[in-house]
Amino acid sequence: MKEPTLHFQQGNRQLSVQRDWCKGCNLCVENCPSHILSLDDGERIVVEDISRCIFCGICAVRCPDFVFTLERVASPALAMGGTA
Amino acid sequence: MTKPGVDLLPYLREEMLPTVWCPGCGHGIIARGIATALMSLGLDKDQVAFVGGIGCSGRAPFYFDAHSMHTTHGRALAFATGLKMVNPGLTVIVPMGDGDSMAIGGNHLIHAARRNIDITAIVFNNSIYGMTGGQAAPTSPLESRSTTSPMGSIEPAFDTVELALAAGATYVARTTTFDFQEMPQLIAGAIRHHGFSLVEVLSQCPTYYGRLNKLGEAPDMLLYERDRTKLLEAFGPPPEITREEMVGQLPIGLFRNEERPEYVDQYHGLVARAGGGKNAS
Amino acid sequence: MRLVQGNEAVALAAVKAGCNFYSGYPITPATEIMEMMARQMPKTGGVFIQMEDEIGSIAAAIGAAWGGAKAMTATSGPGFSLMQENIGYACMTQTPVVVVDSQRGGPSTGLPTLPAQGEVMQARYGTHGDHEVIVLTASSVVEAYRMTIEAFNLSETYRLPVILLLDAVLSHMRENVEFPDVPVRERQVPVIDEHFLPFGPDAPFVPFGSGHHTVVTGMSHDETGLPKALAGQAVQRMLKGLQERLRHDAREITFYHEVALDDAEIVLLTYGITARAAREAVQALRQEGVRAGLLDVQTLWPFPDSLVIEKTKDAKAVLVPELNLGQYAMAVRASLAGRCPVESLGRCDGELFTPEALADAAKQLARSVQIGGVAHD
Repeated sequence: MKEPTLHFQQGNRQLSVQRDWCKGCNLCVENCPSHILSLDDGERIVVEDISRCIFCGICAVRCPDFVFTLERVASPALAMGGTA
Repeated sequence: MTKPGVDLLPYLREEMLPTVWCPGCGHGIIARGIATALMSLGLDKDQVAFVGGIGCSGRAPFYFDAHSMHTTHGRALAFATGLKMVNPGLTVIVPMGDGDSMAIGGNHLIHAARRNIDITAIVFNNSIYGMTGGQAAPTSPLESRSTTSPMGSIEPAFDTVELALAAGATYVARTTTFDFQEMPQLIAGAIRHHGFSLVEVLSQCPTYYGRLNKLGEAPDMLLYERDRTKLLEAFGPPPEITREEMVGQLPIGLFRNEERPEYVDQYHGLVARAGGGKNAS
Repeated sequence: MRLVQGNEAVALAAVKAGCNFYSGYPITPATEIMEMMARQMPKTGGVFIQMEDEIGSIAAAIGAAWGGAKAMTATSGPGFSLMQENIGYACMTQTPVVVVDSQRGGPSTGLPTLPAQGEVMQARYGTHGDHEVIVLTASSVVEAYRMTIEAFNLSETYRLPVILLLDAVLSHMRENVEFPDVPVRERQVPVIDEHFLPFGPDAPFVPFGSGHHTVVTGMSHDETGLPKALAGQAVQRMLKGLQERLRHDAREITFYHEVALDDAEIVLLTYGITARAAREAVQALRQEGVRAGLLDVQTLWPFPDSLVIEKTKDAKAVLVPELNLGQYAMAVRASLAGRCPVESLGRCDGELFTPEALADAAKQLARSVQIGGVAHD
């Protein structure tokens, strides 16, 4: 059963993680400037604290397996008619 | 140009993911670079064909949602030549390994470059033959170790860029999997270029080359790539760096970007002169 | 009616059959085919390219097929040997392509300008692994023309490489010919939807650009084209399906000529250039009262079991003369399985059999199995 893509949202920015494709190579872990990534017991990526993510995209460009996607999405505040 | 907020999945054949490549293999980074380049060029997938050879790099065509040919070892450029001549509207991209391009496939590389046919060759150079278990490649550095050079290679490494330049390729670049900005940019430029383009991407093989040469895991190998290469400003090393200082380092960047008569165009001209009327495709 | 060279007839036939891609490398005695295509393809808007070697030639032809072309290449023994890997690729990927091999003395460089029929087994089994190919041959310029068109037709129908075996003499000889009207099977590319299986049973050949993003691989794959698990079973399934189709269609795909077989007691079973001499030998034997007949096989492979068994069922002996040391005789013997004696008459010295030599061999065979005509009853 394919694990569903995880979405981590912060304002209007979203980090999507397809853990099924992660091979535990550590490239993202070692290159994340905020050090918010680690591997779990199964050697798969875990986002420890999305609030400290600076959405630099280093994880995405370092990953050989397309695990990460960063996108701009509708902010919850905007969607409810408030200001960003 | 590399926008992290870009969804590359539309260009990928998701049913084939995750890739067969080892954890930390640089080939996935190159695949991402190719997908990024395709996205930035806004190419229609129906008009893109990947023609690959055999080896770890040979698996690359499977991962793109386009026309995908996985051919025989070293012969991808010959298959691609036939395909392109018959259907010049296709953007033909040829991922090759170091064996595919510089050993068994060397001759086809020479002649595709000589013809200046509008094909983009991307050489996944990890200095080793990974798929078969870590044997030496013509691109393996002198004294490096592999399963067939266990006491260190006694063969000097082939310089892919020099060969491509000498054979007449009109867009020639070298980059690495460390260079996440330049790599997709150079690949996009290569695809956009009308003529034979070759981009050599130095890639890491942690499983064999890294392990046998004690270069550590993937994160360490990326730094190794960074440290053994030097970015060019234009053609040739920048004035303040001499060739002697380049020893132990490979120049990276864009070595040539010229317009010369392209092969399919030349053939169509010939057809017109012969009174051939309708186009070849 | 005009004087036409064998190689020239092949090139003319290819153009007639709709060939619009030719790649090749010079090699005696096939070079004229390429030279003619170099002149013809630009005129018809087709593609011609002289590749850097024979491996590149067959590769480009296969790539061209996937680009939508009807593709051909021509070579001789040394080049044919080089092409084997990619011929196997065409088999595995079910790619229509025509390969002409004008045989010359071998092995290796051999006798570049002299005839042989040494690739009979190689044409069938030259590439590794289990596969099917169709192998045709011809014994006259007009038949070379006809068989070239049939080669294209068969490769389209069954989606496999078809090999046309000629020889140094046929390639270079000239005969007065009236070209026959041979129907050409046009490639029909249907409209496909997302359920299309590019390698399904009887799947049409759909080149790139028709909407489906086909994965074409030489790795074992299933009907989708993807190299998934249990691909070995899928390949076996697909190959057996093709074999079954070829067996079922044997009558349609087996081309041959026969002379005086109705009451023949001794059958000369041969093919290609040797069949020319055999034809005359049979006529001479008949005049001497020997009940000889000729079966001139043009579809060498798949081996025409039912044809061979039927046409020799009343024979007392079968003589298989060929310009090799018994390659097709091996298959004939296996097929007849002892029904009647099969004598192989072979040579590989670069010379043709004369009608006299064949007639003598036939008489000798007749004597040894005590066939009438020499001593009756």
